[in-house]
Amino acid sequence: MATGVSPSKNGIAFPNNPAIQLRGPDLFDLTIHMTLLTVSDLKIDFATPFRTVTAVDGVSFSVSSDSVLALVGESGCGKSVTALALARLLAPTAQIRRGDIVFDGESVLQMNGKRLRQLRGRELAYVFQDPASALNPVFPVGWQVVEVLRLHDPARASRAEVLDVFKRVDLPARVFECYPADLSGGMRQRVVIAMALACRPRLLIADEPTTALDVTLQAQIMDLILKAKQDMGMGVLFITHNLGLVAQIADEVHVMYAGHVMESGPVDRVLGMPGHPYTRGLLDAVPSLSDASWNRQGCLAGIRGAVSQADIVAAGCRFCSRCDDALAGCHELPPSLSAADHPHHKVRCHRKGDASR
Amino acid sequence: MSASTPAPIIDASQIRVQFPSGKERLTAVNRVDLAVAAGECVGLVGESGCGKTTLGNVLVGWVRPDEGTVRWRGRDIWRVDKAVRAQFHRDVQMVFQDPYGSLNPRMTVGQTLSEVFQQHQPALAAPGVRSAVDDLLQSTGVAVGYAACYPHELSGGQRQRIGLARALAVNPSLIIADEPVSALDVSVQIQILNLMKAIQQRRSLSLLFVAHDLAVVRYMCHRVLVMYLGCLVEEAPAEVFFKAPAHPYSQALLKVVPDIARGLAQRHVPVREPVLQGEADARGLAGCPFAPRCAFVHSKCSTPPAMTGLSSGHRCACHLHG
Repeated sequence: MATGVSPSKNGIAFPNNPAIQLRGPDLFDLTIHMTLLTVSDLKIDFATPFRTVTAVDGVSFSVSSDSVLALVGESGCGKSVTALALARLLAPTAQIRRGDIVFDGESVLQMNGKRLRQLRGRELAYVFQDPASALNPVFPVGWQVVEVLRLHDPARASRAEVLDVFKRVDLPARVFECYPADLSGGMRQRVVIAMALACRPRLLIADEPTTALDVTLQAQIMDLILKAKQDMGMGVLFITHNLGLVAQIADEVHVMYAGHVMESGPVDRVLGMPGHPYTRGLLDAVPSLSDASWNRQGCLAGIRGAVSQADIVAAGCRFCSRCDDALAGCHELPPSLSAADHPHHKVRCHRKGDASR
Repeated sequence: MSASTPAPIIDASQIRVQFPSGKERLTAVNRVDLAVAAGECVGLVGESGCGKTTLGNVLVGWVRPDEGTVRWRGRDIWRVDKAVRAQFHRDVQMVFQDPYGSLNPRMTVGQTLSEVFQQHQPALAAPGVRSAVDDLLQSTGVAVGYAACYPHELSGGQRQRIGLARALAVNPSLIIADEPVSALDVSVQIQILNLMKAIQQRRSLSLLFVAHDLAVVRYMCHRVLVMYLGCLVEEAPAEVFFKAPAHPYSQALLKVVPDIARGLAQRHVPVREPVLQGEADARGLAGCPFAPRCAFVHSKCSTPPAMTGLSSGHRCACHLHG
């Protein structure tokens, strides 16, 4: 496995890409996977009237073209705040205290308003969870897609171009004149994806794009995003709490908890050989369809309790209040994110050296 | 429904519900038979818009079916006097998907729960109500101190526990849970599922579990019913259904549920075969409702298929098995 991995300087490991695995690491500089976005040591604080809350603390990752990076974790763990920070879309109460966000060699934090407007929607596009609130209810959806083109690519701002994009997301031409209220949830999300793809962005940030949809539509929408990724060589940052989807589509995964990345690495490593008790707990919380040994009498353990504010200010490991494997030291000393027995598989746990259960 | 199962708590037959939709009438539930036996957990699955929530509302007595009968312990709930009807409403309770929307934001948890006792057990004095509320909170895993909290002070999981506690307050024998965990995080979801399972077994409660996540249904239910565009397309015991689903729609549904083990195993498969393209559309349908999306469609499918028995308790409405 190790020979198929490109060096960390080059971004993400691609153990699943047969091309890289076969040719070995000597050709990594010819690789088509170019690092698009690098986030390093990001810390984001929110000011409240009473105190300051740190929502994201020391998060680092990078996304390459034609690859999918997944951020997973429970609600409140900082996934969406991280995603919004990438195009500086955070509310004014949020402050980026530390770290940097570099998109294609340029620091997003240094960009002025004009440059940011060029970046948003053109090079970096978002798809959010709720398609109804992402669309303007009083304009036909086709117009809303034309508007994106008019802003970023005026030469292509035409009905024909939009219908072309619609075709790519399997939307019939008649939808152009429809209002959001005329469309089903799945159709609306297709329109939102059409809007995001219209300018052929280099990075797509999909924040729980299918959480509000049925399983059948979820599969269709995910296929659509993957197809667009392959056709346009787009990088995808995929935010979800659905580990089944992560297993299916992501190349690399970062598991977040209370603002920290608890575990990161290639998907088959992290989900197949989880090193962190939190990751194991998340995996244990998902009822399976394929597990032959399971029967109705069985009981999944999951994770006890819930994320609390106290975890974020805890002196030691942020997960230790819910961890069944916690030692006395876990409550005092914060663990660091360091390599497990695979160079690209990192775990933030004092006990990662112990033989896992 | 077969002779071996105990007498059903609720037995609905040939239920048909139509809603006005413009100038036409939309058939939300189309001739569905459903029975839930004592102590049984039945899963009702299907995509949104398939009529599963409407069917739940019919069973709880909120929607009067245009055709068909709903029998509770053998009595037609639309032909009984007020007193029996009140007993029925105590015996069959509902838990909703959105726990925040179903709790009064201006009442504390304690007030919400004691209201149930004041309504249904007026003889109970204040100290009795208080201890009953405490018992309820304990049995649903909420610290007693939360009785003084308002819904907005609780987490989603705690709110759903309160929703469950409120349903349990009148000691029902059937709970209809309409997507009770689909708004929750995975870690909280499993806590609620485990709680419901424990309570269901401890009280030998019947549960009609309305959901679209088949993995959750597999975890919870003895029997599975699949609906598509208002029609029941398959009914089977859980172990049969998950091993050998008969209807093409059930097979497709099982294929599209993301599963961790399967996802990891199929990572290197370059392009997955597309399953279940398009969306359910009831307009202009004459034959099998699933025919426009079915991979096995043939000439027979222009006539509606009848529900046929395949094995004990396993029925399916598809011409492939006709």
